[in-house]
Amino acid sequence: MRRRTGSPRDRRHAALNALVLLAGGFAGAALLSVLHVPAGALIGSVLGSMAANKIAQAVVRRRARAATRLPSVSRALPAPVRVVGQVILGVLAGERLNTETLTTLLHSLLPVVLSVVLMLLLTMALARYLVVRRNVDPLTAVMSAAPGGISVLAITAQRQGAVMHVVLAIHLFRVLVVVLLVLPLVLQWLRAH
Amino acid sequence: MTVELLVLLASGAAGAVLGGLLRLPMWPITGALLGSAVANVLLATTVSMPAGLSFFAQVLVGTAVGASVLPGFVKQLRTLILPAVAVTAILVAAGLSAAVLMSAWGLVGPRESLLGMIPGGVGEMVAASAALGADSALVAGMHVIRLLITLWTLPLLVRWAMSWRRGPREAEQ
Repeated sequence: MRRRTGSPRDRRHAALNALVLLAGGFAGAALLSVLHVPAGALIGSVLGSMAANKIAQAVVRRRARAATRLPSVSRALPAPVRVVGQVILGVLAGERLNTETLTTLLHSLLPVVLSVVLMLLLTMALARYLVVRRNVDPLTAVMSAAPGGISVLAITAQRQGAVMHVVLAIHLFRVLVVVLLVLPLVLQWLRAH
Repeated sequence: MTVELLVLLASGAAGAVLGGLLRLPMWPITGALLGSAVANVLLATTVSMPAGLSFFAQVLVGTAVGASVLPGFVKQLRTLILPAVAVTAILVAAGLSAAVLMSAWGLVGPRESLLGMIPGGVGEMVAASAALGADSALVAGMHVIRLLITLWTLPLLVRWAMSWRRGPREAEQ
């Protein structure tokens, strides 16, 4: 069993931080949904929680001027929150799974595999650039440029000894650019066509 | 109706737990997808998912992404901005090109091909497809193929990259 660390005060702060982030996420999602922004719940919750994080940070900084001790907690959201969201999305997708979906997936298997192979070749070209031009070590370079999910790659990268802050920063940047920039543009294009 | 919904959610949760034990890639999504799909087929359910559930899930996933941007991220990114932009631009361009081709050839619909091929996080893309009413199972399936191939080839790619640090003579041997 995992042991809970930190004092009761720190745990209280962690719970409060999670609530603040979720409140920000829900507020942002509600706002963009009311404004009929496509995928407003997703984009709004990203922006809302980022704003809540920033505001909470400013409040803590202001309080720190008066207090002698800062709560030693991170403002990261507890992992189960993301897992619950992903499980619900999985259930929603599973409820829609039918033979037509499976047939389409089977028909597009070869093109998807070829595209991923092409992406991996590009990953190696990018990794080569990171090693030669940016002096990044080869392991970190491959892990940073690979087209995998943050959570899956982070575990592998950490186990093998990659420089984690580089890997995480580049992957997080990719996800943020896709959700906040590419996705709205794609949705706009889909609406027009 | 409510009972069917609860059964689907419970099967999804059980599938996710099993997926975690079996170490499936992106087990919360893939496990839950398989679990609820099995229940759906076995029970021949006619339940329609409440719209609020999709909204709730999207907010949880979106909040988790926003919360990952911890203080210091921008400062850290400043030193890595060029590599980060290069990696993102090239991978997204490759995904977009593949999606446009697959959609033009009539293999997959435009919404599913775009959301399925852009490498922007499985949860995020499945959430977006749920919001758009696209076939989120197909989108999830396409991303799982990408993740599986990436994970399977990663050790080979790392070994290849490691050879760059050795001298040319040593790499030739």
